[in-house]
Formats: sequence, C-alpha cells, structure tokens
Amino acid sequence: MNTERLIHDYIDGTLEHTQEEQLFMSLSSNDELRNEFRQQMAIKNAIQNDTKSFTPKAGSEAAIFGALGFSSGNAPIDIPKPAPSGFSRFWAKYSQGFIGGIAASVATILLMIGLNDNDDSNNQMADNSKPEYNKLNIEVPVSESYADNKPISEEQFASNQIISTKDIFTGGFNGFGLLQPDYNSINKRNIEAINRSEMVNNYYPVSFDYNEHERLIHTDISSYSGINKHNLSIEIHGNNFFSNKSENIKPSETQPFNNFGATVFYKLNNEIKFGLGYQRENYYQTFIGVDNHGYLWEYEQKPNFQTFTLDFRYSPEYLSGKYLKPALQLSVGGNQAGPVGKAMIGSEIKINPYFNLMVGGNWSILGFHHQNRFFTSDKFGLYIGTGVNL
Amino acid sequence: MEKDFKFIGDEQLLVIMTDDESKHSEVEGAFKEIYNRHSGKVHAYILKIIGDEDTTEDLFQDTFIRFYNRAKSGKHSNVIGFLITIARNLCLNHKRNKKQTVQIDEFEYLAYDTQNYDNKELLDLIERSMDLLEDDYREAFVLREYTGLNYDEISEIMNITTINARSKVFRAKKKIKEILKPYLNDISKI
Repeated sequence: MNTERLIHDYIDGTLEHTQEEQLFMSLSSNDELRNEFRQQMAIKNAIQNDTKSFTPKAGSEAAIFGALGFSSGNAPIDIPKPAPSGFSRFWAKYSQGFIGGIAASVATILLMIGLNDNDDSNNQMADNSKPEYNKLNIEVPVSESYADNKPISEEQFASNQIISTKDIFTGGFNGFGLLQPDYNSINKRNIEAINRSEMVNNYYPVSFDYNEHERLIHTDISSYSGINKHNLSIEIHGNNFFSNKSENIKPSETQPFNNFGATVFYKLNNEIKFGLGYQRENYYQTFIGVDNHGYLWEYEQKPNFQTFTLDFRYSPEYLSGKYLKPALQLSVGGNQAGPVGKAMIGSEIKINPYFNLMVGGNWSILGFHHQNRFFTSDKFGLYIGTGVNL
Repeated sequence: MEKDFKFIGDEQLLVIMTDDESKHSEVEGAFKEIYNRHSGKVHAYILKIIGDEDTTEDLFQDTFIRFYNRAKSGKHSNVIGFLITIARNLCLNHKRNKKQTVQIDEFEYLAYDTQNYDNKELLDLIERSMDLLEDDYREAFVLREYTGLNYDEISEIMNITTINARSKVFRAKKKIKEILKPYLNDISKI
C-alpha cells in the first residue's frame, strides 16, 4: 500500500493499527509525505467547516413541519421563569416524597380493607402457615440497565439510556478533531448490556442465616417460636432521592411507580424486624470505558432499576416513647446492575395498633462493573412509609 | 411526563413515529429529533449532488416529507441510510430530467491568485473540483465526507461492494487533489 493511501486511510479513520507505525516512521523522515499529509488534512478540515452545506434554509424547515401538520420551530423555547418562592422550592424538592407517602398511605388503607374482607381465608392460612420467608420467587425484571461487558443493539440503546459521552482522553491528542468517531457510532459501539441472570445469581441474596451466638445486637429472643402471622406487617413507602454526584441527566422515561416500594416485615421482638423489600428507583451512574479504537470515554446514565433487599430494622426500646419509635435500618440486596446497600435512620410513628408511619433519612449505594472495573453510585433522600400490622 | 427525545436512539424514534398508539405530540417530537440529527447531512448530500441551491431546498423538503410518509411502510433500522436513499432517488429523478453540464470556463479562474486564500476559498475550490468528478465518484466522496456514512452503508446505498466504495472515495479525493495541486502546494509551504 502506498503512503498516500496510508495517509488517506489514517485520516479516514480506517487505517489498521499495525500500519500506523509504518506511516509515522515514513512521515518522520520524509518532507514530501508530510506535505501530502497537510494537503489531505486541509481538504478534510475545509469540508468539516462547510457549515453552509450542512444548514438547510429556515424556510425549508417550516415548510416540512407545516406540510406534516407540526408546529413550526424545532424545539420548545426555554422561557426564563421567575425564581421560585421558598415554598415552591421546598415543594419542588420534596413533593415526590410527600406524594409518595400519601399514595403509600392510600394504597395501604386499600390493602387493609382487602385483608379485612378476607379474614376467614387468613385464618385458614394461619393454620397451614409454614416458615417460607427465605423462599423468594424472583421474576427477573425486564432490565433497562447495563454496565457489563456485552454489546447491545441500537434498539436496546434507546431504552438503556446512555445519555451522553465525553472524550476525556483524546482531547489533546487529536488536534485535527477528525479521528474522533461519530457521536452516535460511539454510543452504539460502547453500550453494553447486563447479563441479568448472572446478576441475580451473583448478587441477589437468596438466604439469610441468623446466628444467635454471633449476632451484633444482643436481644432477648427466648420467646421466639417460629413464624407468627400476627408479627407480619407490610410497609409501603415512597422516596425522594438525590444523588451525591452532580447529575447532568435524567431518565428518558420514568418507570411507573418510580421511587415506590414495599417491604414485608417480620417482627422478631419489640426491637428487631426483618424484611424483604422491593423498590423501583434510579441510580445516577458515571463510569469509564475504552472503545475498540483505544479511546477512553466517560459515560453517564440514569436507568430505571428494580431493587430487592433484605432489611434489618432495629428500634431500641429505651428510646421509644408513646408515639415515636426511633429506628436504624440496614439493607442489602441487588438490582439489574449489581449489589445494593442501604442505611436509614428515622422513626416509626404509631397511629394505632394497626397502622404506623415511618419517616427517615435514607442513604443507598449501588456497586456495578464495566469492563472489569468496579464503580459505585450513591444517593440520599427522604423515606416516608405506611405500615400495616397484619 | 414528557419524553426527552434527545436521549433516544434513531431506531426507537422511528418506532415512536410509526406506532399507532403514539400521541401526536410524541410523533412530532420523534420526527423533529430525527430532523435535528440528520437534516444537515441530508442537505449537504443533496447540495453536493445537485449543486443548485433552490433545487436542493425543494428536494430536501421532499425527502423529509417522503420519509415521514414512508416510515410506516416497512422496517427501517438505519434512519440515515433510509433518508439518504430517499434523497438519492429524488436526486437521480431530477438529474434524469436535466442534462448535467460542467462549467469548465468557470473553473479556469482557479488558475489565478493562489495567494491569500482562506478556508472558505479552499472549500469553494473543492466544490468546483468535485463538479469535475464522475457522478459515482462524487457521490461516494460526498457520502463518506459529508454524511459520514461508513463503507458498508455506502456500498448498500450505491449498490456496489465495500471495497469498491473505499476505492471510489480514495480515487475521488486523489482526483480533487490533482485538480487543486497548485493551491495545495501553497498550503504545504505555509
């Protein structure tokens, strides 16, 4: 292959890596070739700066949109809004959590009504009840996530929402700005899907072994005599989360009942509850990856997740009052991307023997892999839940 | 909640556009996003193939309107390929009805004043030298350099092999370089 062709292929982005060395050696020792390189670059640069060719007339755009019955104008205009008042800011920040809590309360009341209607069947269940709390039929969710090492199709790309990429490695390297692959093609080449079944097998805790002699918190469990349905409760909760990193993106589509969840608790005694939890939520993820051309890219995404957790709630009796019952909750679990850990400090608010509210501050962390690197994403937020004792 | 179409892939946008259950606002949003992404490339392709600005605008409008109307008629996984194919057919139809002529005398002025050119001038010279290329060489060059299609896509659109597509792009550039040799030599001296 002649050097003119090598230069062409190099600028074209199609030169084999092994031939680059040959080209650079030739360039370093040959003035004529360097001139050839400059000339080809000049042509390329001139074409890239040909803004006129790439810009349709405004009239054309209006004509197309008009013919198809669309409004003129390409995108909604951002009209500056007045600065929100104090209450508006507060509401904007915490509305999701409050609405979640209220919705959770309504859902819980409806659930309670349903349970009362089926009282007879509940009694039958009590007769046949067996400890089944370690069994969990996990229906693998339809994942919108990724961050593993397998390529996915462009179609999956849309739902997986790689939001943006930015070159953090080659900015100084490619002075001509020609060798950076096309934005869309980079996304296509680099998006990777998670192996969901592997995630579940690897990360989802399917059992929890309680060892009385090794427990961290010594509590009297001498009265424990197996599962009793009257010690079961359901807590439906809503959350309002904020990532600890500065988020530049949002999900392209928010899943239904996002930031809602439910936990089934078993009360071991007055201080300790164990639970199985389910939560629909987002994590803002940033991670880096290397593409086929050796470029290092930083990715950002905020996919929708469905997280399953095993929960442990400790409410020391000496802190408990008539209405308030301060509690510490620790959770471990997993979702489509990887293992999840959560911690919460808050208080149960007793309403009556059947109902209680739970309000707390919650911190969550997600661990995930991409190209054999490990990344984490954490967030904090408000937790409002409504519990029903069965 | 309103969809943010900027973060949705081409293929999914096409699905939204053609889905009978999509709302009008969603169809509009998806179409406008596709227009935003690809209108520049489609326009550049038509302009470089046709040359005349007024005709370019007509064919450009026709391309997107036909794209919208034909989107439902089949599965199209490559949106830019689909758009360029529509644009190409319109350009071919137009050229079939009009004899292509090359204004050699206009080109001759290139021999003057080789000093003090700037990027715009070089671009103008490249455009004029492209007029001297055979149609298929010019088209391959435009598809690669202006629309950024890869060689597989070019070969599919032009109905040639990938190797042939690569060869045509290289030869087109070589020809342009030969035509612009006096000017490019000056660039090398700077």
